Amino acid sequence: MKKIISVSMLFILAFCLNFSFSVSANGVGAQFPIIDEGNVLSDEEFSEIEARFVEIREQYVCDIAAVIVNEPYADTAQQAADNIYDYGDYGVGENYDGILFYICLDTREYHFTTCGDVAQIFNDNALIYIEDNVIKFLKEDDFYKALKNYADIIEEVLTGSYAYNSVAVAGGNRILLIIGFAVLISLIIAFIATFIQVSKMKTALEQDNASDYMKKGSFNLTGQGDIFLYSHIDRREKPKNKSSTHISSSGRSHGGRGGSF
Amino acid sequence: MDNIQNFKCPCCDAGLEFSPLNGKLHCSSCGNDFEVVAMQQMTDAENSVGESKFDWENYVKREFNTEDVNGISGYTCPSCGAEIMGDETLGATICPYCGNANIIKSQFEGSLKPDFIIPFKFNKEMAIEEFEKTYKKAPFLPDEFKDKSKIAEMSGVYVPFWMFDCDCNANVTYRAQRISNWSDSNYYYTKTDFYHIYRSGGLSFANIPVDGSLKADNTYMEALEPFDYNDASNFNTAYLSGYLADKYDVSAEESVDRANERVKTSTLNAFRDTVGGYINVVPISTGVNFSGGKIRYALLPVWMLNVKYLDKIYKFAINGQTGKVVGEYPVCKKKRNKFFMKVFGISLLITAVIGLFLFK
Repeated sequence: MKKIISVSMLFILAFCLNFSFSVSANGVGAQFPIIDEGNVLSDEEFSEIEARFVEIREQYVCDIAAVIVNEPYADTAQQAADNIYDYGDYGVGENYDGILFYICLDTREYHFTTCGDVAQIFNDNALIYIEDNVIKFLKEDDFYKALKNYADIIEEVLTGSYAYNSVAVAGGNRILLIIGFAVLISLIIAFIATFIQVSKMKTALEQDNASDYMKKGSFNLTGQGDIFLYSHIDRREKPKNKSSTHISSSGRSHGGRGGSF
Repeated sequence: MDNIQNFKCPCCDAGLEFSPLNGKLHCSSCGNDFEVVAMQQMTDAENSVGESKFDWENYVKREFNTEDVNGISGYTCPSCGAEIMGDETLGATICPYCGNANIIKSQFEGSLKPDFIIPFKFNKEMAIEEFEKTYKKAPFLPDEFKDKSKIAEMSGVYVPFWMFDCDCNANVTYRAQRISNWSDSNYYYTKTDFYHIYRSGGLSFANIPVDGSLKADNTYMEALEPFDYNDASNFNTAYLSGYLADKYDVSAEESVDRANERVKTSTLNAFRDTVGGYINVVPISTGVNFSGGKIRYALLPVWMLNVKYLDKIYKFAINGQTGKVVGEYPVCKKKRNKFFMKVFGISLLITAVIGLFLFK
């Protein structure tokens, strides 16, 4: 059954439970991996996504959450996402590892907030990759598809197999890539070497110039000039392998990225 | 009133207009600005490049005197039509071009007297020795070549050449680039500077040989170069003893195009070598002028040999002065394929190890 809980209720619950000194491996937020204040998901969709989030959290020891609100919970989407993450007690372990996807239906803003060690894994490149595969569904108001893709890509990133990082290649694909690379380069080298040797079998070649017949010392430059015409500058943005981090109101360091849909 | 000069944009060829705002010539098509002085220099340089002109003196013919031809006989080949001359006591009767063994001795008819001759320095035995030394270095030569090949015909021939001297002046303009790179925390920057470059000057050439015989393969004759002209001597029939001498059947006028081609290539290469520190250097216009052209007629020594191997004839030529051997050797496919697999195998091993580190 779909859990009916709002962010405000979550804050209260988290506040109360933290004051009761109950020790839990997971934060309060772990109980509510997905909050749908806007009621955009059906019961079946909600259950499916929730189960998926729980599965990923248990397998990778990293909290994954999504919060869909009607009205903004702070001045900016970034602040709202950070506050929900911190005060809603999301995050696994002493570093509060995890990622939360904040969606505001009223302002049509979104924000991914990351915390802990996984902030290095969900760097700017990874977040751009997630955006490229998720936000297009938000624009179409297909929240189920957006969250499903969000879960899939989080898992892809956590297994280290995501395509954006060109150096990380997983499993059997790696072997194929190495073989393909080695065979192609070796073929090229072998062809070139054989061609050079075969060309030595035919020494009857015409001369294309008369440099052997230039009179020594006869070359004389009477005029020369190198005239500057114009310049052209191109620039290319550097891929951001580092996470851009900031400190939230709770004092914790967060990474993240957001925008509007 | 002077004609108003119109400048064209070097980027897009549109007309340039003077901009009073910055005192430069502005292209409204691509938006670039150019210094007036630079455009004037560029235009002056381009205007100085004219069309290529080739100016050769006519060949001054020298005829044989009666005394010169005493003891020389003419020979014709009924198979390929070659007309050659040789010592009238010459025992060999094999045509050096087609191998026909029945060349016919005929009346020696007047031919042009060569301006000089380079005598043979390598006799037949020495030439064969050079040939054997050289073919051993051919990488894919069949192992049986040494045992099963047979020199079917071998003739020492003085091949007629036209020798060209000239002075050459050229004007060349280029477009070139310089590239610099840098970066800051957010971006990589690439700056490309575009240049217009001109060079003018001259150089001289002497003794460019172009073979004057239709029968002698031009590619083989060029491949035999260079000859050392320090050994050149005035023509004397004594040098023909034991050898044949071909008569020219390609005129100097017909040969001059080949000389022009080679001189132009060398001239442009020499100028290109003076443009350093740039990338993407592209010639825009070239003008080559020749002067002081001289033509001479010479006989140069060549050993022609045909080698029979597995029922196929392979042609070779040996420079009769330097011993340089040129030709086309048979290729053993087995050896070639074995080499290919060997290189492929070693490369595969090395690149696989590199791949292990590259694709983590």
